[in-house]
Amino acid sequence: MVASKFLAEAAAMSGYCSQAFASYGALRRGGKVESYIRISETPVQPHCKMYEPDCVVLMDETLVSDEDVLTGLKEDGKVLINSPKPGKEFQAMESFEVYTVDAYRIANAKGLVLPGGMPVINTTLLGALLGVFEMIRFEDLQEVIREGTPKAEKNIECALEGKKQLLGPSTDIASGEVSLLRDAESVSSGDRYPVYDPEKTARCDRCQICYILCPSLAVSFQEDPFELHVNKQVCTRCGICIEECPRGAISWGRGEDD
Amino acid sequence: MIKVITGNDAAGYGAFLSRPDVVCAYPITPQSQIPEQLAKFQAQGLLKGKFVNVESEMAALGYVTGASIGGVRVFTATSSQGLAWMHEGLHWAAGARLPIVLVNVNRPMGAPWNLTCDQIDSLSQRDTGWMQFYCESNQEILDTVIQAYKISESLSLPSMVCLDGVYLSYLSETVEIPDQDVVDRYLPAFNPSYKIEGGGWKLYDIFPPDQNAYAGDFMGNRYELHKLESKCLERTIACDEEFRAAFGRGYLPVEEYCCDDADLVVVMSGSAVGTARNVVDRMREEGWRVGLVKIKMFRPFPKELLRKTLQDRSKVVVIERDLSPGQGGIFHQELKWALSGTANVSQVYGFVSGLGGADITPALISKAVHFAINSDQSPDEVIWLGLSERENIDEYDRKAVTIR
Repeated sequence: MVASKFLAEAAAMSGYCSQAFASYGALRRGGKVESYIRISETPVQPHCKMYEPDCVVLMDETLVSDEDVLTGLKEDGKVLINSPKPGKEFQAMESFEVYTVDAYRIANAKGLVLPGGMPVINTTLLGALLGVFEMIRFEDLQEVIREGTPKAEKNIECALEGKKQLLGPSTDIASGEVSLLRDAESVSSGDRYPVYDPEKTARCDRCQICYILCPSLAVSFQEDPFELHVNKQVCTRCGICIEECPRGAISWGRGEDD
Repeated sequence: MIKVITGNDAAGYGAFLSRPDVVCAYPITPQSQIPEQLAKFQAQGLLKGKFVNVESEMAALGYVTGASIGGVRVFTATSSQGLAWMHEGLHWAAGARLPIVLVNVNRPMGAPWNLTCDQIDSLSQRDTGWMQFYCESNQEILDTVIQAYKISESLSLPSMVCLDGVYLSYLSETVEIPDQDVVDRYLPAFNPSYKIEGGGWKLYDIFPPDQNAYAGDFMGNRYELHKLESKCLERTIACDEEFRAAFGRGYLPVEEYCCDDADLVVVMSGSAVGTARNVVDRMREEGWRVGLVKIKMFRPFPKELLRKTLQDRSKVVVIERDLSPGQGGIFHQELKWALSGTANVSQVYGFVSGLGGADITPALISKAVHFAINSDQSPDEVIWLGLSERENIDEYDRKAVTIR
């Protein structure tokens, strides 16, 4: 959301007409959010979602396993993935130009991290994206970041670093400093879902905090025997239920079969 | 100044630049950012008017109604269930001839609960006597709020400026924010021809003494309200011309796009018009003589303009984001009524789409157009566009074929 607005603002400062639009269920950090950015020399007319993008940015590598993310991407389309691996390793995407940047590592290194330990990667990816599309001036992005973020200097450093460390489509697999130091728990939850662990059932005192706090109404109960279910169709994997359960009775898992 | 802002911000800027004396709005998704922004401007000392917090939408409209009777410029904004809660006050404001400007962010009416977009909330208020304007882009929202004050104050009639929830309210795009002094020249301070000051007045006093409308001539009041129709259209066009001269852009009550030689014309209203422009461009490249008509002004319904634009087309395709259950789309009904007296009645196809925030995609629009191109006669009922897993247009296509 924020990243798309920043990009649209930077594009406008560089003299383009731009539009940013997000599609989401209940908006929570960590949940899956799609946003669409249109940049044009003439006024942007459509007010709908995007079905044929020129470029797709995946802000978390786990999204690669989502079959829908590249649907409609044009034949000569570009993909930018937040990943320590070079683009060539994503073999299923070999028909596209795949760029990568290790945004989690950069944000961690610059200390741009939320109190819970989650690195903030928006500006790093935007910096990298300006390396892919050179039509938008870096100074403009810098200006937008300065006006729009509380930790402006750190964010600008991240954007600069993102642009510098962008790996192009032809980067060899062997070369490049690939770091896998990323803490898996600190990143978004990918294809994992909250699971009510039967072994921890005894801990649950049926306080229903998970049910009350779920922004997507994905949690439901069954009486006799007592069971808690998370609807995978609705869950945005935001992790609030896991975080807030006072008894630790919910944890990440593969989710229930449909 | 060019800024990338959301539709809600655009509405807020439009209100701010119009220098309202009283702002009173109760927050509701997806409108909340409008009062938030105006409250911020007020806290920063930029907005000189009063910002009043109230406990509900009904109270908000009540407050601005009172202020408007006192002869000051007022602003309020709401959405969906909030607008419905204002319902009785809406009738009152129009009957009392108060130039209130209300921004409504179009959101469906529950149940089922839905926080996204369709236009049934404001279309359900079509008989209240308010003027209604539907916007296509964020720039148009900002500009229309400013225009609405000028139109409303010259007619003593309230205006509802409508924008699509989510598709405009939360969508950011480049908007030119005009300079305050240019707006001030276009929209001078409100100078009402009649107002009530001080205490001790009675309900009868809200009209000038020579009108005596409340006490004796209710039907006369309604007659005047009804007869305003042509004046509303005239004033809207005149205010827009003046706006064009001052700001270099404008919006007609009924706008034609690529219509000169078009056999088939798509009729739409709201944010999806922009999407349809691209579809028309693409189909033109493929050689189809297709045009687009945007209805910006829905109340009063600009029937003469629409007749003139649409009467000699072979087919008219209405695509809309609302439904009168059991009857069909509201724009479709109104348009058929408007065209019913014309010499060559066009075939009018009524498509209902995008309810509850469903996307009206370029693919759906072009599907609807091709459906109309390929059929001999427009069906008597609503055609569902993009209805998942139930009766959909493909199925309808087959049925239509068997009927023929």
